[in-house]
Amino acid sequence: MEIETDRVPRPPVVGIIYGEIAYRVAIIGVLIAMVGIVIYLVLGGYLDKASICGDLWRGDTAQTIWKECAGVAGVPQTYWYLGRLGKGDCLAMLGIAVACVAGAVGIWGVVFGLLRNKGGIYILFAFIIAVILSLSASGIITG
Amino acid sequence: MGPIEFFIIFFVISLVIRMVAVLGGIGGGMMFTSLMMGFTGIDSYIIRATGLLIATSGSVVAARRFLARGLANIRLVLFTGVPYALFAVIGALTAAYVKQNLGDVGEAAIRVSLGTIVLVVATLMLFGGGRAQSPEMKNVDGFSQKLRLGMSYWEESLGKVVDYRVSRASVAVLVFCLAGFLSGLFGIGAGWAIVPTFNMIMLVPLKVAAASSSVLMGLGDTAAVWQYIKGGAIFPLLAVPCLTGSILGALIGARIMIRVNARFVRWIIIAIMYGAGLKLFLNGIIRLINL
Repeated sequence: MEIETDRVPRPPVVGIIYGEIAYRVAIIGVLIAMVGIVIYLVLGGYLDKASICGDLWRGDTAQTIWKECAGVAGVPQTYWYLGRLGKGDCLAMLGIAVACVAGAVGIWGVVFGLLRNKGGIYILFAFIIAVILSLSASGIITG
Repeated sequence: MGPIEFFIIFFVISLVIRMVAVLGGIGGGMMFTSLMMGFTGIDSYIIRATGLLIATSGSVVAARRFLARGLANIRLVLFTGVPYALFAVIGALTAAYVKQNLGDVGEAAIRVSLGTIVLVVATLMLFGGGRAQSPEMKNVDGFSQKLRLGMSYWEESLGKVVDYRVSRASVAVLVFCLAGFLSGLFGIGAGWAIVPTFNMIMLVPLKVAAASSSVLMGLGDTAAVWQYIKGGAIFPLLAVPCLTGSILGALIGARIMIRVNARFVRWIIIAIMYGAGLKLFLNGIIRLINL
């Protein structure tokens, strides 16, 4: 990560790696979410689309909405949408999840990039962030 | 209201909020969350989850350009990302705890606290003329020097390379713990706290501070947003129009930025934030009185 100061400095490769990976994963996620929501608006899905608008607008809690619109008690598991990807809202939720995992995927790219470039203490920083993000996304960190 | 109307309304609202936010030089999460909580009846936990999703995704999309141009300082992001990500998760877990265990008292406290933060940020925007494009560095403390946080970037307006150093890293860690916690708890992102910390405490040039802040939020808030997903607070019918509207609003805002009077937009944002902050604060107080 050395910088030359006598001409336009080259940005650190690990930064470019993170930016490219995270951007592409996030855009893929947003596109999946858009396809899913169109299907949901046209064909319906797991959550009853007729009643969810009223429930949200009325200020119902997440628990109440899940109960009234999907008939489940309490809130579902983190990955409730994975088993129902034929339904539009579940596909849209998959897209949102992909967009939300973009940072975690990108930071692992940084860890490996820094390992190759002998990034010193920054390998440790990147690794700690990668672990926090991965544990959070996998549902292991919980309240 | 039918689902298609609902989708269109939230798409347009998010687009306008993000566009105005970009023109005023602030993140979209703070404006989205405070306005939605202040002026709609939607459950605050759901709004905060959606606000955090917007802040995170917008930052991730913007990060690529900042990193490719060398404006964002990746070392700075990785160093400050550890306390920020950790405390963003703690903040999101606290939000879930408050929601589940403190009921109406917790909801009122969240509204009063967020209202106060929004009012403070609006006041800082009003009187905060202390930010420097390139802060003057007298000496660097030993800890910051060991971390070698300083870098260089090409300053287009000056037509030359700017070398900068970074100071007070140890003090800044404490601020990033607090910023991460508040971002996770309230779902507002934390650009309002990160940029001044980079610029005024660590003495990072303003452009680098803003770019690095965006990258940091994309990373740190990702950790927090999963706690809200686990809490069942992300509903695609609300989240997707807000997400897509927000990204489109950021792109449009960036394009028209050079043609509009940013100072005028900033005044409008300050007025909106005072309105939303005051409404949230009073709403929380009334809830507390009525308990």
